[in-house]
Amino acid sequence: MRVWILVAALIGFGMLSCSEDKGSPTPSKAQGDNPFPPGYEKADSSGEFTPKKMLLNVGVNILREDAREFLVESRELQSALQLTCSSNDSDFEVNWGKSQEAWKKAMLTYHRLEATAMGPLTENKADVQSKIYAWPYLNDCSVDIEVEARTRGANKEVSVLSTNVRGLGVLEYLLFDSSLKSRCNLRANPQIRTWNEKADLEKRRDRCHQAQAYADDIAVQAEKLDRGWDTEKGNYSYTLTNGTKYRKMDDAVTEFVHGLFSIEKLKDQRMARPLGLHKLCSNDEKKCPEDAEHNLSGLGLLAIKAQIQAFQKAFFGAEDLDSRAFGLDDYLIQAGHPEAAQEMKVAVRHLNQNLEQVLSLGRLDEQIHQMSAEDCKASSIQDRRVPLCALYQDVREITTLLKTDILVILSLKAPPGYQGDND
Amino acid sequence: MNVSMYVAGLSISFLMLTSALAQTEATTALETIRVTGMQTEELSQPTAPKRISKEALEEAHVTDVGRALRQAPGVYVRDEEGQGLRPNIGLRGTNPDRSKKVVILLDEILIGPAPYSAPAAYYTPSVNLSEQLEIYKGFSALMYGPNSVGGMVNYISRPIPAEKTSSVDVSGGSYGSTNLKLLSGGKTSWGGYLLEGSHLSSAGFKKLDGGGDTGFMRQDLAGRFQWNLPDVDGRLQYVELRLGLGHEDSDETYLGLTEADFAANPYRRYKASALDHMKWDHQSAVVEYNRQLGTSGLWKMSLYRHNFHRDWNRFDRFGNTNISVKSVLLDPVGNDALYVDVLRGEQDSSAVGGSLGHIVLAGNDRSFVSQGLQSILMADSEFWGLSHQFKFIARLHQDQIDRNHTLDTYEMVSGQMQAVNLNEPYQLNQEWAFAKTLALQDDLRWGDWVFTLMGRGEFIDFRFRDKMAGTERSRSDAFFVPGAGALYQVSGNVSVKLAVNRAATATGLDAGGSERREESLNKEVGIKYLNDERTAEADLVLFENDYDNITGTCTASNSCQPGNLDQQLNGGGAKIQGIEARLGYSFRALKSWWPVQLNATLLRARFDNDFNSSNGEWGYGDVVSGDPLPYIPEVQYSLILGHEAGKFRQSLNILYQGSMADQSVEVGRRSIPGYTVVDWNALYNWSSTWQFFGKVENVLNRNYLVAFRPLGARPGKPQTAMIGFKASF
Repeated sequence: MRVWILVAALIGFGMLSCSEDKGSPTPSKAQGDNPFPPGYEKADSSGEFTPKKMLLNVGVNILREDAREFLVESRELQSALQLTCSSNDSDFEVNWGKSQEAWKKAMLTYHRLEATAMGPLTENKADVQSKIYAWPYLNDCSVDIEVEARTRGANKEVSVLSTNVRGLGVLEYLLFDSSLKSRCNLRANPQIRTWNEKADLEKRRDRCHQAQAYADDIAVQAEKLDRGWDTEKGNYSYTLTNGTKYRKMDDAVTEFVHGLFSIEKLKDQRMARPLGLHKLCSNDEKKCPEDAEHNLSGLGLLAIKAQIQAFQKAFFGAEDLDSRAFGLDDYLIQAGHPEAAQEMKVAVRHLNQNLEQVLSLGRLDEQIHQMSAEDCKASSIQDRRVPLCALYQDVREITTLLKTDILVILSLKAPPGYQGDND
Repeated sequence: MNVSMYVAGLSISFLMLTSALAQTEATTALETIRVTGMQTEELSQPTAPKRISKEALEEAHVTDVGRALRQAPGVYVRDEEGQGLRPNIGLRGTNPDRSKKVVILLDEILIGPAPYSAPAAYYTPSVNLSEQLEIYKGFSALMYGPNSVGGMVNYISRPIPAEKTSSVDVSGGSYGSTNLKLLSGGKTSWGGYLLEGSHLSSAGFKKLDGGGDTGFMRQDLAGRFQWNLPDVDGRLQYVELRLGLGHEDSDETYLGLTEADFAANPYRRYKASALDHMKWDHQSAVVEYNRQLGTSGLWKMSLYRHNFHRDWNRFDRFGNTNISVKSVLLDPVGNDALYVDVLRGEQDSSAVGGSLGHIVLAGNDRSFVSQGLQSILMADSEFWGLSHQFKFIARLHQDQIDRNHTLDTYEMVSGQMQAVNLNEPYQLNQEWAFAKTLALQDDLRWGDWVFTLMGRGEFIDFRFRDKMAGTERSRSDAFFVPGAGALYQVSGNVSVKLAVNRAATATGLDAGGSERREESLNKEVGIKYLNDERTAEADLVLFENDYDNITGTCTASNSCQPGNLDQQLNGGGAKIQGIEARLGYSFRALKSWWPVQLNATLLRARFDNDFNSSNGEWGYGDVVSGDPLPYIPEVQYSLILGHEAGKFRQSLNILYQGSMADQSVEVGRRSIPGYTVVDWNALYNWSSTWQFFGKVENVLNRNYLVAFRPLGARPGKPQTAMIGFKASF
């Protein structure tokens, strides 16, 4: 056993060395070093508030850091899968679990990035975003077809696959689907019938090899993202604020605020739809737990938490709501509306408190299964008869503040095509 | 074969046919076409329309009004389905979307389904039952409303023949196209009558993924009955009853293609449009009293009512309302590509977020009523030493639209659409308008000068009733648009004209309280030349329409976001400047007549203010001064090469339409490239009974993009040939 551990450690070390060769993330510059040309604003929230300083703070100190962390974690996921796929039968289960954990870490970090979807993540019609994580789009049958095809060397390159057949969502399916039975119509796809009949371990190994290919692709996308935010490479924070992309600083602020509108997706898709509070859920039971995110991994509520915390961090400029770091709250104060900043602060604190309670009640999909659809509909910020549904109302309160007060006070436009369709 | 070889081959065939037919006997010779447009009196008439003649329309067997209209300068048409079923006509820089900025008349009576409360012209009169078209632009359209900033198109129906005549006109050709026209009528002792029937159909030139119908069928019936009344002081008077019935059944869709799919096969149709179907019925009745006044005066009183009902079930959007179908089709990258796969039937909806990937069809059931009483008085008089020609129009008009919109949701499963939820109520409302219109024109003649003064006043009440929400709103609008012009007849062959007028388009109740009229100041100068023999003509007009406020309507056909649907939005100032020119020359050579006509339109249509647009028509985002108005070609040329020799007549029509912008907003703006289309038609008058004809549309069989609207890339009509005969007895 010890020999195997030693071998595994050596392989792991070798892989880490390989990933170093591919160009490991270099440590970011100390915050005090200004990564911009001489005389340019610093990203350190010192002095008087300006919208530019706010954008530099969010870009350099939040989004750049998150992108870097996601790159590191996507490489760790790559390594974990390499180790898993090459491990022998006895170690396979343990390493499979490690790969699952590595996926969870990467996934939660990615959720933080998606909470302020802007810049390198959303450029070119969100090309990188949709390649990293296309939820709720998942074509599990096509994934199975690729898994089976790889066993015959007939698989496609990941780069040509549709977004619902690649990315972190597909990895969740491959790593957490315990049924190991393909969802494909076996009459239309007879080759899957043979694959279905394989032994479970063999099927896991097949899935592992396919997962490795997906993890490699995710790491490539993570590199793009990191490069985009890296102050020594793409330096998007500089591009956003130096007048080349936007002539007016208001337009740059608008991009940031539109990024924060990702919270609408959290409200509508991640919460309202599975809770049965959205028109897209129209079945007889009036709730759609099957549409909840991360049903396979059980990460749904943690994903919501990650998104809320990331929203809060970007909005207030730092994790601590009372910090001096420049965020939209400072912009509201400068615009003469401290009450709007305070209102948002109260709403976010309230949401955080309630989130902890909901987290203690179990998985997202389980809570939806157990609740009554009528009680859910009757829940409100005051009447918290179904805590999860009341939490949805807490999020709704924040999106309402964002769409009404904040846009109006700062004279900004709502993002086109995203008016929020559950209000 | 390259284009030049094609053109050379075509020209040689054209000439060979010419010389052969020039030898034929001319016992049943056709009436000679001198120059196709101008009449001598137009030189002295400041508000004379441009005409699409009987030869260019009826005898050329045109079935798509757009193909005929583009022979006139200043008119451009955005093709939609390639068959001319719902022409999008624009005049002098007005947006052609659904012809809603153009007044459509049939024999001087408003014929749009609801011109005040819902001006989008989903119905246009049958070209098969029309003999000519009149196009009034700018100043000359001032007398008619409601939306006459750009101008109007007046369909002239076939008159009762002087002698009893019956005819059968049958043709058929490519893509299972058939066109049948029946006519019987003539003068009688009590007056006269004319009965006409028309059936036009095609199996369609588009191919639906997985098979299915893409064609159409349109049928029209018309009756015209005239009763002569006893003459009063030797002046004629009669009553006429005109009845019309129309029906269309077409498998038409809003859904176009991605650019890549268009490049591979422009005539493809996605699976998601398989259930799309338009059906409409139209009934029309006009009772008209006509009375001759003085030597050239006329009084005409018309009572009219038109009913129109349409039901268009068509692909509208996806279950995910945050997905813009337009954006998905124009730029199918990332997750958007998945939605295109659903449209093609290549991915199941379940793989695209379940209900997010559902396909939603709109069931747009709309009933329209348009009715009124119109009086037109034309009279001559002399006072203050001046000769006056008056035209006075008074009209009481009421129209309404009742919308009963539902949604049908389907799931794409293994390339088939499976119903999920049908007939979900969506919109149930009524828009209603009552308008009183008074218009007066006075042409004062003084020597070689004609001074024109005119004005139109509109007093309109609008009402909107939301039957689902149980709410009602109403508002009134009143405006007066004056105009003045001067025409100087330099000689018997040349006249020059100068005119200026205010123009307005009424705004109903679709702007959520911020209704503002569309208003502009129109200026034009022109010069006309016509030689004594009417074998040479020239017409040049320079105009400028300076909008204080240009309005646009956010509609599904211009990819409106659901929240803004049917909203009228203000675009502020815009300026449209243009040159319209026509040169016509007809000469005799090789024992034949050769009428040649060149029409040119140069347009510069730009916003002259900065604003943020939330209107699909202009695009979403910032519009800055200098941004183009969409779907207005900067240049358009048409060259018509005619030839007639005794019993034979043929015409080669070459149209070049310059590039157009798909939207005003620069971000995401696409250009529709310019294209050339060549059509040919010929007619052989075998005897007084038999006539044979043929036509080829898009002779060069060019694939060309006409629009990215309503949703995605759409092609023009491919090469289509038709042959037929007409028997008259």
